[in-house]
Amino acid sequence: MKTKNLLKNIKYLSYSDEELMQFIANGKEGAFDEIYNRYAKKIFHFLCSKLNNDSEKANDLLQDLFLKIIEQPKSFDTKKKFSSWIFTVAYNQCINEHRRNKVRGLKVNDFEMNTVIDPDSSTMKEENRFTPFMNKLTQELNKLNPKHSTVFELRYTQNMSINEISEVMECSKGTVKSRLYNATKKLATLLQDFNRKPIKK
Amino acid sequence: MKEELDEKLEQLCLSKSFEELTNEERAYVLSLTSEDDYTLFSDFLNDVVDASQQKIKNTEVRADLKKNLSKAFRKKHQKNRSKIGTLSLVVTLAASLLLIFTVYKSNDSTIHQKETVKKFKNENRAISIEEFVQSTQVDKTIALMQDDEVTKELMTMDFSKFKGFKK
Repeated sequence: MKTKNLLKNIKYLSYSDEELMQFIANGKEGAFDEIYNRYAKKIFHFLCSKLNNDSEKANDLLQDLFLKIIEQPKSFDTKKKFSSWIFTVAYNQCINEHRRNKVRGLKVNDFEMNTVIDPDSSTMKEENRFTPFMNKLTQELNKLNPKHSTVFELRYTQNMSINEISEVMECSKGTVKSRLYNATKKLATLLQDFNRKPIKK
Repeated sequence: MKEELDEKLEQLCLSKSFEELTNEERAYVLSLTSEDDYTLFSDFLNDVVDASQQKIKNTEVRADLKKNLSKAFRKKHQKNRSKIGTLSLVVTLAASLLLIFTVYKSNDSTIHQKETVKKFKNENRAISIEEFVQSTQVDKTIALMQDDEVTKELMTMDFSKFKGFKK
């Protein structure tokens, strides 16, 4: 059974995200598995960082996002790049979540506030040589203007192009470049003396 | 450095240290920033990219999430499949009924044709194609071309024996 599933999924490895979405609309489960494998962790990481490492909420939103792909695969415009579309949906989910929290009067996870997160609540299961650096970076990112930190994360964590980021954040490429420059300059200076050496166990 | 990210400079930062730059690249970099700033940005961005990749790789999504989604996927497409199944069943049923009706009508007509021929035979009188067509309600061309038992019987009949047969 496992071998059968594996073979079923290997078939879809070579297809683009956009082609996979067409297969999904036609009910091909292997295509859905492939899209999930490509994006689940990336989106989860993005959601966590935008929700101040609330992994429970990030899991819920991740599930909602993939349910949307299952229930309404045609809501994705195949002329667009899938990566831009999926991150736009994820980004909007975060904005809505922060709005809901505001209405409820919750101050935690306020998207517009400069909050500081607890680095120990990281979703990483293993420590590695980058852990202290990443924790510090996450702390500093959360102190930045959310739009600047989002641009920075999409560019260097999710490896998206300037064009894709401008689509996700619905702003000009010039704005993206300007936000990116300011965020990078600030963060690079703040983390200049940070110890990035491996942890000695 | 100008107040906007320069994509060429960014790509150099991500791929080469200042020492690894060609003369032409160094000149380009130095037209925008200092060597110290280049090194600062380059080290920082490479650490961010490496650390992020590592973090995503080690990230764990809730274990039951994929299972729930696969279940939802199957449920959704099973529903679609059963819709298609019902539709094809209805179409097949309708087609079968139409076929049964046509065969029945055809048999009915054949029986009627046979009876007509028998009747005229018994009455020992001639029958014209027109008369045959009129009494059996079969199209004239079909009556002439038909390759069934009735037509064969009709065609092998010795019409000359029948009075009043018109060719």
